[in-house]
Amino acid sequence: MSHGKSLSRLTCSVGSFVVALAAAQAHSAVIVSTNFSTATTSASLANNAVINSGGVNTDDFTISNTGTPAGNIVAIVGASAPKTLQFTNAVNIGSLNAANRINTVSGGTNAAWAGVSTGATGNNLITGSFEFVRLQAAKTGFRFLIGAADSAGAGTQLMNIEITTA
Amino acid sequence: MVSVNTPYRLNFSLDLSSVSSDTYSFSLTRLSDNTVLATSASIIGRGGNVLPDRLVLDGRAVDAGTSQIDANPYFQINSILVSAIPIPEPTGLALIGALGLAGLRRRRKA
Repeated sequence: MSHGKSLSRLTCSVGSFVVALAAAQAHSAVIVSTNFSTATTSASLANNAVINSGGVNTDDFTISNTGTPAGNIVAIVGASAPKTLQFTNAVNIGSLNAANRINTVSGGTNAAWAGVSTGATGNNLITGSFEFVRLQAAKTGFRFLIGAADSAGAGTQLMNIEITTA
Repeated sequence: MVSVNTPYRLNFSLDLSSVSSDTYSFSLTRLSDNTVLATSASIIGRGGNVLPDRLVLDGRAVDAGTSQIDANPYFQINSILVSAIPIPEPTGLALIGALGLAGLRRRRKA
């Protein structure tokens, strides 16, 4: 057996392996893809949803997490401690029900986000991004959470990114 | 760090593949000059291999001394994109590898 032939067979087998491996890698599934179509108050982003606070209504995002997550919270802190990350423990997000919402501008956000509860499975890498604009100097932060919950509302906080500017 | 009326982008990834502990990472970028203001990786979340269910943006004030309830919006978001990428289980990868090696051995015998 010549080296050339052996190398050719090895290349072929490795190639088959790579193809098989690539086939096993499932495509990513988009859970949420939203560009809000109705302009609101920001001049910096043409199309927005507005994160607000206040009472719950039908367009709210609600979280029924009643647990006390022990996971880390990441705080990106502004002027008083610039560009530092703070890691703190344990926030109770169970009391946030009434305030967790995006004040919709088009009524479409419920549909846009509903897929979150059905589109993901356990062995996943969840990736994503969004753009945001801070509107008021007096309001210094918000949280971005991904959590898990059962039908009874008992839940787990998987990710909590807290952005503050104090 | 987060100035008023300046657009930013938050990128994140949440790895749910471990059976013992899930981790996440993020980066914060100012869009006007594409400056990355903060990054962090391998942050340990809670639990292991938990089914994600809720995606929440909490607009409540997080600073002390500020009223939690305000009729005026204070953050806006747009261009939301969230994807789930299934990760092949180790057993599946091992099977694929074994098939590849078996094929290689067969070709050598031929």
